[in-house]
Amino acid sequence: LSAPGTRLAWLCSVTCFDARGALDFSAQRALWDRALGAGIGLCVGGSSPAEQYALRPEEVEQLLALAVEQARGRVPVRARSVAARHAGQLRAWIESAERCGVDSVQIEPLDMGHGGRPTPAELEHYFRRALDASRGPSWISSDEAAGYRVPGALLERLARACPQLAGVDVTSADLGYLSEICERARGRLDVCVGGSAHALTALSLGCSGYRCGEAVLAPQIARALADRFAAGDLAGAAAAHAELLRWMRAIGTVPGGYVRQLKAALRLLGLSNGSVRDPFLAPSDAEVQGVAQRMAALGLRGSAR
Amino acid sequence: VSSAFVCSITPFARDGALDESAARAHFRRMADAGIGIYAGGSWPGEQYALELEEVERLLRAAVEESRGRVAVRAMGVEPRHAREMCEFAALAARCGVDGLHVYSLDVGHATLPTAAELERYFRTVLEATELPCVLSSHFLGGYVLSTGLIERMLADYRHVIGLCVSTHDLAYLCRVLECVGGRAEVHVGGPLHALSALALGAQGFLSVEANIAPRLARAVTDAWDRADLPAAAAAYARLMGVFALRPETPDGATVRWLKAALELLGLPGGGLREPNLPLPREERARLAERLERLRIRGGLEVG
Repeated sequence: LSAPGTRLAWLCSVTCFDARGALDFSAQRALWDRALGAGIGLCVGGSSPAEQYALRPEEVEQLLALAVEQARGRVPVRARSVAARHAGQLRAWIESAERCGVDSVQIEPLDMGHGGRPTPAELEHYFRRALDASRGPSWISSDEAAGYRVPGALLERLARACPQLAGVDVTSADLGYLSEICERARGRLDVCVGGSAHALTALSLGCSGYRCGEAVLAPQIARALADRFAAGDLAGAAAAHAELLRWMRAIGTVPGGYVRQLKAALRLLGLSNGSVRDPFLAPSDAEVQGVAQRMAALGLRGSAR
Repeated sequence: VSSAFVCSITPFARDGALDESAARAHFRRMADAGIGIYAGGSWPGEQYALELEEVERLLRAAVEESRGRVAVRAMGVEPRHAREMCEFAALAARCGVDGLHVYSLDVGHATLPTAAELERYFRTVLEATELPCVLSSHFLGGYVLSTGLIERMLADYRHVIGLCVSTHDLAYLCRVLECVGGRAEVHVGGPLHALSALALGAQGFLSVEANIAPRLARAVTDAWDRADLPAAAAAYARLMGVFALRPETPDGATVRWLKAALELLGLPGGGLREPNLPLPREERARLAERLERLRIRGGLEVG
């Protein structure tokens, strides 16, 4: 976790595969080295863009162990779960992540499947059960991709009841909700936002950081936003945010295609071969070309490194 | 000939264990009523909360209690990738079910598969099993299958025997029926559009409500096959009364009120597994009142 008062950018990492679909540890190390060089935290795992649904438990553990080995002492490592069908699915993952020595675990919201949404009581039960399995610092994720938000009052109750709860990761387009969470969390929990869209606003609201996939492509820019903000350089922070958003535009224009587009951009930058695992198909040449054109139009190619 | 299928619950004992005895009693009651059985499934079958060994016991129980009288199909859950569904297909085949329901992909995180990814998924699954397969096109997955994809699957895989279409878009249903053109059966998911579907040429519907009132669900298709439209409409209206038992709150998994209703009626059903929690007491009391108004008692559709 970040020290009090610091602002931290987090890399929302992809998982690197070789041409046969096996984990590509060499590419993974290279990718994380860039993030470490930029001084941004590592968020490892999760459904998107890390494709954790397609990973076997032992592969998840290998990745987490690698991240800890690479990052220890330099930046924090946060392990992200996938959205589980029930809390029981998380227990083995939490034990594994903590065994690897990550600095914190992030528990994604319940995904009941088939369009089902948990009642408030069921959601609370789910988070309490998951947090009970955790011994170290833990984050709760409130991500609209689940189809609902975690109520602020529930977060407050969990914060009071679970000392290991250290932060809330909010992915929502509703800044009113984010503002509410920041106020409820103040002095007790860190708040981080998912995605670069509201990064600058989040820092202004007192969030401790932001987590984004674009940091895979432009880690220095992701870091610069936090640094400029902390230095009181609003113009510099705004410029960094604007560039981060250009990266988002370059890869985020296809609904549901985030993983493919991000990997296409990595391929263009020579940072990955672009491989994905089933159920995803590798970005087509046309998709790669489209990303290349958008990057060129936005003047991004040279700024990635 | 039309047909109705139940999307079956999975009974649990008080200690949370799979209640195989109750499951067998439940499957017998469904088979006695003459409706086909989809066993397992995400809702209301709570298959996400089952271990694979339990799914296997459940499917075997359904087959053993029902074989020869009604069709038994393995419903399954929405998989994250093809491997999950292929493993389930192998398990279902070992159990001797009559068919496999192939749910669409749920890749998670509100992400939708591309058309090419979806087609590869279905081809991978269909090439991994010889079981007769029913393809699912369900709006709750965030998308439905294109008629082009349905056409290619029917053309390339003779063991695709049906489509299960869950949508409120009847124009889409019309397009699917036109595309299928009698080469496979088409059922709609849920009783809402049962009569419309039958009128359009579909073979019937799936029903969660049949867990409570299986004969009522069967009565809809029986009356339809006799060309007795008033009787079909009357049965449909009563079945929709069961449908409307569910709480008005938008939260919600069907299984919560369904299991409470079965318990109130003294029928096999049992408790819930995580992440579901039982209905709050006040909602349960309202449910009891609604059941009484419907005059459905002890598993018999009275009145």
